Amino acid sequence: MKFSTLINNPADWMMGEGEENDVVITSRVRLARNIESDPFPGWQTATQRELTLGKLKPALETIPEMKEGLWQDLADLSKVQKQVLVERHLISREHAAKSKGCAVLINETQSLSFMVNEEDHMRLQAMQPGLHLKEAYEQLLSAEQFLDQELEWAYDDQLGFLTACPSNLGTGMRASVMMHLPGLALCNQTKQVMQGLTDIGVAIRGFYGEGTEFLANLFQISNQATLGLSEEQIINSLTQTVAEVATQERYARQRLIKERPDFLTDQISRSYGLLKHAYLMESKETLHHLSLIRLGRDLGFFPKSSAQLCNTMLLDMQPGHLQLHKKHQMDIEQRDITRASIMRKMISSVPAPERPF
Amino acid sequence: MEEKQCPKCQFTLAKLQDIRRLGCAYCFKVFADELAPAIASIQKQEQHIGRKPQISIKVQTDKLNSQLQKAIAQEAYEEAAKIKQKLSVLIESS
Repeated sequence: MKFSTLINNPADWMMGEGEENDVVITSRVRLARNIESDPFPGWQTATQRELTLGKLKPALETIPEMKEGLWQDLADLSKVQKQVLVERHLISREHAAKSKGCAVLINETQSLSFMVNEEDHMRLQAMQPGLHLKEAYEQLLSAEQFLDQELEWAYDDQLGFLTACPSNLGTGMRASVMMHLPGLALCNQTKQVMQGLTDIGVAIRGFYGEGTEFLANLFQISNQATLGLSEEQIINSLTQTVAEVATQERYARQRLIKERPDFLTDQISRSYGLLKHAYLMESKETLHHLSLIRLGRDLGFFPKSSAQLCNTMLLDMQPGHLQLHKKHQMDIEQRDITRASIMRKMISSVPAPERPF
Repeated sequence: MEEKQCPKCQFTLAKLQDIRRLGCAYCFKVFADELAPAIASIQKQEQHIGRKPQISIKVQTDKLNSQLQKAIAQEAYEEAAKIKQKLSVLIESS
């Protein structure tokens, strides 16, 4: 697979299917692994990093699932291309800052991405649409069984898999679910629910990762502890937590329909109107409107099939993807113009909102 | 007093306190005492109960073979004989 093929094709998760997809956008699981004999990437010289990469590449190539995939050295990518991979959640922002001796291997459906020499030698990630953490983990497990044939991981009977940062010790696993919670936001309940999650040891991050705002009513919810719990325990407990939050979100939506139907219809229709007719739109505003279009789709204002469009619009409005549409560098106003123009074009395939209640 | 350092990768205690990351797998043994409170505060438990890596026969044989080459190069024949013994046990068991 070529880089351009990847860019021109939607990832599997963008189809918008899967369990609980009215509230859960994606489920991701990642495992951190290191080669026993080599220093961790952050403490390696460029030459050592290349040696590690030389050991990992042939091992990764034995995984059948990855045979038709894209092997990409980061040194060969432009800043914009790296940004696009970050926006698609195929590499982390930390990984995008690296180049020589660092790479990523992505499968055809973009459900698997294996980062080489991020903070750890290997970061194996699987991503599924909807609430499917178990399936995502099983995908990784089957890939890892091939790697076990070729490599010896840094492992300790007490501390489990050894990672550069102690926060990943043990399973090396971070399970993370992207949730869309506009109902809670419109009912002013977000803060309360988030506080409840923090209290039970669940980590919450914004759309763009750690320390970012909760834009587009999108929340990434993940496990905090990685040591002393089995992979199954981590997944089951997070799945249960997510299902509970999803119930609260649906309850909030029902309350809005019952108690404030005109307000709700106004919010959704207003966003549709603005996306359809605006000529200049900044990123934050666009994210807000896209959230309401998605809510409208979930509540029956728009056809069910517009889910994929919601995901495509969410990606295409971001800086890296936007830059792909225009070859030259854009200033802020040009970006807002381009963004609005792309949104106008895309939303035109969605019929005007129809109030279903 | 000289600063504590990992003999394998030369990572130092000062560096650990600065970046809160480690240099290599062996650092966990070297800095075990210094790490214990940090691990206790981040993690719920201190004993791993999840998946263990399944080290393949191939990986083990490769490792012993490279140790054997090293021993021969250093003319440590007694050591080489021991490694050869381990290798034959491994091959028999597979």
